[in-house]
Amino acid sequence: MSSLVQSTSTPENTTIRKAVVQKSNWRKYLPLYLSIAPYFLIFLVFNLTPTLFSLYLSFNKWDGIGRMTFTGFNNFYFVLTDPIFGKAVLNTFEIWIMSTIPMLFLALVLAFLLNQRRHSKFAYQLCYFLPNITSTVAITLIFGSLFAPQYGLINTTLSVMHLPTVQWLQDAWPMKWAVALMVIWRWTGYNALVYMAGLQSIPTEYYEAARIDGANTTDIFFNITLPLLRPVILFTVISSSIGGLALFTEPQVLFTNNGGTGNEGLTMVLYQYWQSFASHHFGFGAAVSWVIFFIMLAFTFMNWKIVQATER
Amino acid sequence: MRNIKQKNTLWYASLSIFCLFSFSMLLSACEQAQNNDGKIHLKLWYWNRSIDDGLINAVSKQFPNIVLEADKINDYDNKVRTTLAGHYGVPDILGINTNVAPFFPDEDQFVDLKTLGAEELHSQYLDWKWNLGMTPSGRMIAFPMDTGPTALFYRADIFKQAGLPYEPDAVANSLKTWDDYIQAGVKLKNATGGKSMMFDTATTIYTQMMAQSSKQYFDPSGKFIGDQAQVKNAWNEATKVVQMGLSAKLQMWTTDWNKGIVNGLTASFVGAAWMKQILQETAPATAGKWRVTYAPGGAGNSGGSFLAITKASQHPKEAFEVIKWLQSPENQVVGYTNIQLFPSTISAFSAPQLHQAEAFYGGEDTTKIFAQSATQIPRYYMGPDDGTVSGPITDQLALVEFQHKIPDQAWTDAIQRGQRELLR
Repeated sequence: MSSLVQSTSTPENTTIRKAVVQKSNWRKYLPLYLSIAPYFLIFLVFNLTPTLFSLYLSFNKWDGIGRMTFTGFNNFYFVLTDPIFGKAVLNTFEIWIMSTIPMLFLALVLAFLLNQRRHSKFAYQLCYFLPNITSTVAITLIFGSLFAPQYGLINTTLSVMHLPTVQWLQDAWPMKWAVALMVIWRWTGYNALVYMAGLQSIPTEYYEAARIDGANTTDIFFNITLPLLRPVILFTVISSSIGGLALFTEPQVLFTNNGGTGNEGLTMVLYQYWQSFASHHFGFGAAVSWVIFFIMLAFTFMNWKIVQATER
Repeated sequence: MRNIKQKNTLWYASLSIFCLFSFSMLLSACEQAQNNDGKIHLKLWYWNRSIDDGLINAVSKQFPNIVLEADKINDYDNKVRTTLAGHYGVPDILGINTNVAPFFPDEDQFVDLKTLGAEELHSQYLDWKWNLGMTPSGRMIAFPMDTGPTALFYRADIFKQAGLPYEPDAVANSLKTWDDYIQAGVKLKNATGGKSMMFDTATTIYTQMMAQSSKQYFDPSGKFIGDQAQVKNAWNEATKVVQMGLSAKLQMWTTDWNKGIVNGLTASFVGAAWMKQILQETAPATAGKWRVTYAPGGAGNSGGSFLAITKASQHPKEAFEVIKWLQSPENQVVGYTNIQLFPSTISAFSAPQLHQAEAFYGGEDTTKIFAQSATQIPRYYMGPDDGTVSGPITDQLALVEFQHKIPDQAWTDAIQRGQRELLR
């Protein structure tokens, strides 16, 4: 259609029309601009201004009430040399790896199996999605009583079977697994649904051809499904890394603000919350959030490079 | 034609959306500026169960020219801080929990209650509690509400079974010091075969010993004294209990702690008067088995809150009248009977309503114990950075208790960490 219109209009015609269009552009689009203005006004007031203010804040010492005192790069120096922040960053990445890899693998298997079903798919899809829309605080409280060290359901079961119990809420690695397991429980279904959508876009001819050539389910999974799903997998990796690096509610409810015994459950964002909103070091907290911002920026950049490399 | 009409509709629609948006913004901005009934409006912020709601409702009856607009606030400290920072919508009267000292650096945000004649009420209130609202510069920024005198809660049946004294007076006499208490802990563990433990967690020992100390982490001049004997002693006793295997290893505020209370793994703990209600609601089935007596090591305070008047208040005099009435000895008795807020006025302790036989504690009158504790608590100074340096100590104590960290190493790390935190 557009090529047809272009071919009929002469060069002069176009310039005249352009002038008219430019003149009335504002009038024409003003209602539209007005319609979207509330969002941008709110963004300006509640997002952009606080962001810029936090940059200013990060160079100051402020308890939230009194005067701010300018301290230069002191806050940044403190956070970058703080072993507990280092631990929080490490914990975040450890928990991210511990949760993302099993989660995405499980999600893929679930999606693959579900995709082969003919009936009652919807009921399964609904069940997959339920953990994701349940309140995180409620989930964490329930998991808290599952993981409770002496009388929790998991440890009670283990001791009944004469197996050694695990100190889920007090030992370094079990604490991280407790958080990772909650993330897995919450997000596997969601990712399975994303994979389902991806699977449905793979033409069935490939599968039929493979079957005729004598391939079994495992062959099909690794040689057809996996390669063709790669863009979808990349999407889930990126989206779960954004979520994983911002992990907050699960460790906060399970281990309180300082991340529990030995700060083993402390994540970057929880550290930021702990310092600013529980200890009232608002200037320092702002500096922490900018450091987190740059860590995430670097990570996103890496992600992007990896995506680019695989597209080639 | 149709096109123009459509365009107009779009115009009107978007314009009205925009107007609605701006109008609602305007409305919410103007919300505050409307009261012309000729009365004095006072705004009070408090949190759930910090003041008896019946008393709050009765303020307008007591003061016909005052309207008290009381708001229960969630996420209290953050809202208070952001509101004080914004200098907008600041209430006249502000409830402050036990963390009054962190407000000391911002003492100019509050009215010095001495200028309103608070001093003449001083003798009615517990001196140590009164003193906690005083900043190092001598301003009184916070008025006493409730207190948290501590005592020993213990299971009389388990004590009896272990061959220990089990009547409140006998227990108090045999457990005079923390070392006595630890020795009894050994006996109790052996006698019950480890089914019951004397201590819930090392953290309780540490915090309760500190609660009995007249010296805390700083002196009023701001000098750090948190590595001195009072802290080191509490640390030593707490780590000793861990190393002797006498702790039930149940962290406070967890489901495991509740379970330990219910099934008798925890045979005793030192806690404030407000633990009574928590205990009774957690373990109703253990009613009649618990007793309360004087804690080993002496009287201590844990928790308790305050009321302050902000500089933003237009009516500080009236606000102070309301505070005085809300926290009068008679009304503190009401607060105790209704929601277990332990009084800070001395005369309230002798009110007959407070001295009832409590079935949960085998018919004991626990107020007698807590009131005695309350009057014996030494004056102590809480500094604004107490939490900053005590946090690392309890963190390290948890590592000793749960991850077998060597106590000496943990102590060094705790002090180092606290010193570092102070540099920020």
